[in-house]
Amino acid sequence: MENVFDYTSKETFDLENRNLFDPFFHFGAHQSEISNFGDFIQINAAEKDIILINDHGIIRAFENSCPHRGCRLIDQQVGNVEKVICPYHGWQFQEGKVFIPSLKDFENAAIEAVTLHYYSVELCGNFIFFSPNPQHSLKEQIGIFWDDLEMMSYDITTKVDTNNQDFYANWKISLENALESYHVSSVHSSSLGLLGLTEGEVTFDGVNSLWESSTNNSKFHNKLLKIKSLFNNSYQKESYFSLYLFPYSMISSTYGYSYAFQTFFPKISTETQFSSRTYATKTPYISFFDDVIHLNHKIFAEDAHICQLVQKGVTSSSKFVYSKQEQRIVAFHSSYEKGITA
Amino acid sequence: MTQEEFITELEDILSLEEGELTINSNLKELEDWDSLAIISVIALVDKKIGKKVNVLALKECVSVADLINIVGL
Ligand code: FES
Ligand SMILES: [Fe+2]
Repeated sequence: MENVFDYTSKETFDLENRNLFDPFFHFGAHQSEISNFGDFIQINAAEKDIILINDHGIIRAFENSCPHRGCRLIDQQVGNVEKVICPYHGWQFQEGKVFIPSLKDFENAAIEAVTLHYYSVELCGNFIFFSPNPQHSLKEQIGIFWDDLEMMSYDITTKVDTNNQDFYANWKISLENALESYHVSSVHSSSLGLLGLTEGEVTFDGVNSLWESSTNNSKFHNKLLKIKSLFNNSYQKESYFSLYLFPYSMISSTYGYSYAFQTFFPKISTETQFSSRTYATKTPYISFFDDVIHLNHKIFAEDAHICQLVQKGVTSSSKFVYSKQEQRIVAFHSSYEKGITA
Repeated sequence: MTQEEFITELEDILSLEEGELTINSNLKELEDWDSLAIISVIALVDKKIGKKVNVLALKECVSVADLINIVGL
């Protein structure tokens, strides 16, 4: 069976982690989330936990696992630490250096080379991306969407919500659901469906794609235009849009007023570690975002439910067909094939 | 800003024709009285009157008169 239609096996899961997780950059956070020295966030992805930390002004990413004997270093999801101290035997990590209690008791010469397992970190504007072992620069990976993404990041002021939840479905099922608008009227009839999104247009660039859709609900459109002057943003679009960054990341927005950055990391072969972070942009009227957060929670709960049903129903012998509104899935399959055999 | 001017601004926010709204109009019966309209009213009051009003207070308003009361016109 082709890996892309394999939603259950551990072999495919491992292969994906090697060939898709390791060589690509993945969205981590917005710089405003870790703006003070010692601020960190934890990201759970593909059997690994990663810490993104502001280490005296330098943003570092490392596996949340002690190089001594593997203890989890930081247990909280977000917080601030002066230095990273392993709770087991007290090894300390700061500014790229390691401090080891009773160092002389380690007779093994290799002790000098012991370090955290660091990942590469690169920025697009204020967006932080990480990769275990990148094969391309972040700029090459993002391609023609770089300038757009950079501008979006500068409009963002602060994170207003984190929605981490497990989807009981293989990550490809969860991602493919997010890549198509065909399901919106049936799955999201009383949430996203109310926006009256049109088929819109897709722009492809390599493995990434941007979908822009205007609304056919003219009243809603007029209302959204009327509040434009309440925002002091540079990146303005009169559409709902979602930018997919292969393999696991997607950012979406309505008219650039707020942003939701989602990641669809594999958790185990039959579960997705879904995370969505909602960001506010430049406006003093922050109560606007309460409704956005509420709506996003509803939409993602609906997606979680339908993805679980797909996981339950899908069989490995299935031969699927795709509509025009599902063209990004077909493109994803070919990117996946290239990536997985690399 | 007078009450009349406020009502005219409100009509614009709610996509209504001039004169459609009165001080006794029931907001709950207007389909366009939603969170986007509320945020627009907050901005209007902030910019034109220099007063900060709270979302919950606006959500509790039933009539245009209640709104005018909160805004303090
Ligand atoms: S496992 Fe971390 S100090 Fe021993
Ligand atoms: Fe959906």
